Amino acid sequence: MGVVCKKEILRRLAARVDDRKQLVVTPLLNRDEVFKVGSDVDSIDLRLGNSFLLPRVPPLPYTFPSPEAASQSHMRVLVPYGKYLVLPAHQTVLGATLEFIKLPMDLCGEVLTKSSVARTFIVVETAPWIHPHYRGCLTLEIANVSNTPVILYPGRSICQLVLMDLNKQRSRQGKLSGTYIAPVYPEAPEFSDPQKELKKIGVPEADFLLPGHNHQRNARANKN
Amino acid sequence: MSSVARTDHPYYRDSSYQLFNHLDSLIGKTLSYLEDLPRHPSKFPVVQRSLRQKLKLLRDSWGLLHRYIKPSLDADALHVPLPLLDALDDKLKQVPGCGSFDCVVFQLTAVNYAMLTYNEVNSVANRIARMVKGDDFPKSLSLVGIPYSQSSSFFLNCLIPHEMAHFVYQEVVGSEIKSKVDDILNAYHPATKGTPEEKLLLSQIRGLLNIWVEEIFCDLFAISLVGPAFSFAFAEMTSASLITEESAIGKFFEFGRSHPADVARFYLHLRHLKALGWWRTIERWSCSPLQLLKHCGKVFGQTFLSGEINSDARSVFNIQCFWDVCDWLLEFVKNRVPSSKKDIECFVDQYPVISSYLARAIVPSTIVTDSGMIHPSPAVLINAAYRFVLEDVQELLRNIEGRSESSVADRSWCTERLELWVLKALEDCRLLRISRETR
Repeated sequence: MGVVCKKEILRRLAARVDDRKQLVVTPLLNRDEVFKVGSDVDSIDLRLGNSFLLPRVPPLPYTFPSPEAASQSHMRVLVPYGKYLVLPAHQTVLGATLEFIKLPMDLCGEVLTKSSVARTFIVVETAPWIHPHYRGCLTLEIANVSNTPVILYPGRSICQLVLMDLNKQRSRQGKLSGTYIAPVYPEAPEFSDPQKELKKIGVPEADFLLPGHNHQRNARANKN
Repeated sequence: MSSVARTDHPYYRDSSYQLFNHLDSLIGKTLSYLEDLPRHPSKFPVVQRSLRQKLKLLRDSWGLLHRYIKPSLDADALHVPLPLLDALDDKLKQVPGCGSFDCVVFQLTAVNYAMLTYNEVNSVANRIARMVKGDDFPKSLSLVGIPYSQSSSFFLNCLIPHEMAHFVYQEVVGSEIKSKVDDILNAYHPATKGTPEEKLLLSQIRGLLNIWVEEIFCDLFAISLVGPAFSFAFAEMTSASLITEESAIGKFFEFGRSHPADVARFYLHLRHLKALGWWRTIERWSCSPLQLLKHCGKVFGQTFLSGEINSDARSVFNIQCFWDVCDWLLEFVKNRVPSSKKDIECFVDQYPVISSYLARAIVPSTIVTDSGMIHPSPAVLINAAYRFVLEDVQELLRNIEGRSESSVADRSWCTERLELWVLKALEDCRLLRISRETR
C-alpha cells in the first residue's frame, strides 16, 4: 500500500464519472493553491463545512445507544461562512468537511488534523479511516481538548486527506450500502435496538440490562 | 426583537436581518413615542379622543405586523432552502431594475406560497413610522411565505421565483403592464361609452384582468429565471390539490376571482418554454408534468368564468381580451429577463453527465465532460435535478443495496437525498464562483 501523490490525485480528479479510477473532491476552492508547485505532495487540505451537530444534554443522565438517540442527542446548527462557532474547552461537536469526496475502489484514505490546528489542541477525527468506494462529506468529530474556548470558522482548512493505493486489489464495484450514504452534513449516529442486536448473537432478552434497572430484580421478574 | 433574532444562533439571511433591524428601530421609536405622551389626560375631549384614536391605530398596526414576525423568525437558515434562495437572488439581481432586490422568507401554516402585497407589511410599517417618526420600510425588501412543511426542501420550493416576481410586478413593471391591459381592454370594451353602471362593470372587469395578468406575468417570469423546473413544481402543487379536493378538477378550467384557470397557465407555460427554447430539449421527456403541459396545450379553450364572478361581468366580458394581453406579455417577459439560451445549451450538454453523478450518489458541483472540468450553473443544476427525480431516479435506486424501485418509502428516501445533494451542489457552485471572482 502506497501513498498517492498529488500528480496522481490530479489525474484521477480529471477522470470521467464512468472511469473506475475516478476520484471526486468538490468543491476545490483555490484549486491553483492546492496543486501549486511546492505544496504538500502527499495530501490535500480539506475545509470545515458550515453545518454542525452540537451534543445536547440527553433526557437521561447518559447516552443510550437506541434508535431514538439520533433525534435526542444533537442539535443542528448552521454557521454561515464568515461567522464562527465557539467550541468551549473540553467540549465536542460534530462537523463535516466542506468538500464532498468519492473514493474509487482501489483507494482508501485517512483524515489527519492539520498540524497548525492540532497545536491549538483541537482534535478533528477519532474515526479517521475512509474505505474504498466511500462518498460523502466526511463527518468530523471535533474535540477541543484544551483549557480555553476555540473559535472555528467554516471554510478554513482544518484537516488533510491522505490517499493510499490498495496495490493490486481489484475488488468489483458493488452497490452502495451502509447507514450514511453520501451525507453532505454531519449526521447523528443511528443505532439499532441494542437488545435486538445482542439477541442475534445469543444474549437472552432476560439477561439484557437496561441502564438504571436493578439486575437481580430484572432477573427475578423474568423468571416469574 | 434583537434578543430574539440573535446574531449567533440561529442564523438568518442578510435580508431577514434587514427586516429585523428595521422592526427593531421601529420598536425603539414606538417606545420613545409612548414615553413622551402626556402623563395626564387632556382637559379637551377632542384632543383626548384624537390621542386615543392614534393609540388604537398604533396598537392595531403592530398587531398586523406581529402576524409576520414569528413566521419570519422561524425561517432561520436551517428552515429555508438557503442555497436555492441564494441562487434565485443572484438570478433576480441580473434582471434590469431588480439589482437591489432582497427577499425575506417567512413560514406559512397553509400549504401554499405567497408574497405579501405592499399593504400588508410595507404600508403598515410606514404608517407606524409616520406616527412615531421612524424610518420608511426598506424599499427593496419583499416578503415571501413558504409552507412550514417545505422549509429546507428543494423541489416544491422551485415555486418561490413566482412569489419573487410579484414584487417585480409591484415595483418595476406593474404600471407598464397595467397600461397595456387598459389599451387592449379599451379595444374590446371602449371606456368612453356607456352608462355609469356599465363603467362600474368595466372597472370590475379591469380589476379581474389585472389580477389574472399579474399571475401570468409571475409564472412567465419564474420560468425565465429557473426554466421548466417551475412548471414541474407548479404541476406537482396542482396535482396535489387535484388529488385532495374533489372540486379542484372543475376549478382547473375556471377563471376565478383571484387566479386565472390552471389550464390557461399551463398552456402559457408551454408557449413560453417554446419561445425561450427549452421546449425542444424537454418535449420528448415522458414524465407526467410534461404530459400535463401537452394536454393543456390542446384543451385550453375549454375555460370558463367562475360563478363567484358577478354575473353581469361574466355576460359582458370577452375572454379573448385576456389572451391578447397574454400574447403581448409573452414577448414582454422574454425581452425583459436575460436570455436562457446559454443555460439551455449547457443543460443539453451536461445533463447526461450530471445524471450519472446523481445515479452514483455524487454531488455534481464539479463534473468532468468532454470539455474538461465544469461547474454547472444554478439553472442547469435545478432542471437536471428535476428531470432526474421525474425520470431517472430508478438509476439511483438500482445502485443502492436493499432499496427497491417500486417502494414508495425508498423513492421518498431517494428524493430527500437528492434534495440534499442538489442544494449542496448549488452552494458549492456559488462558493466556487465567489472564490473565482475575488481572486
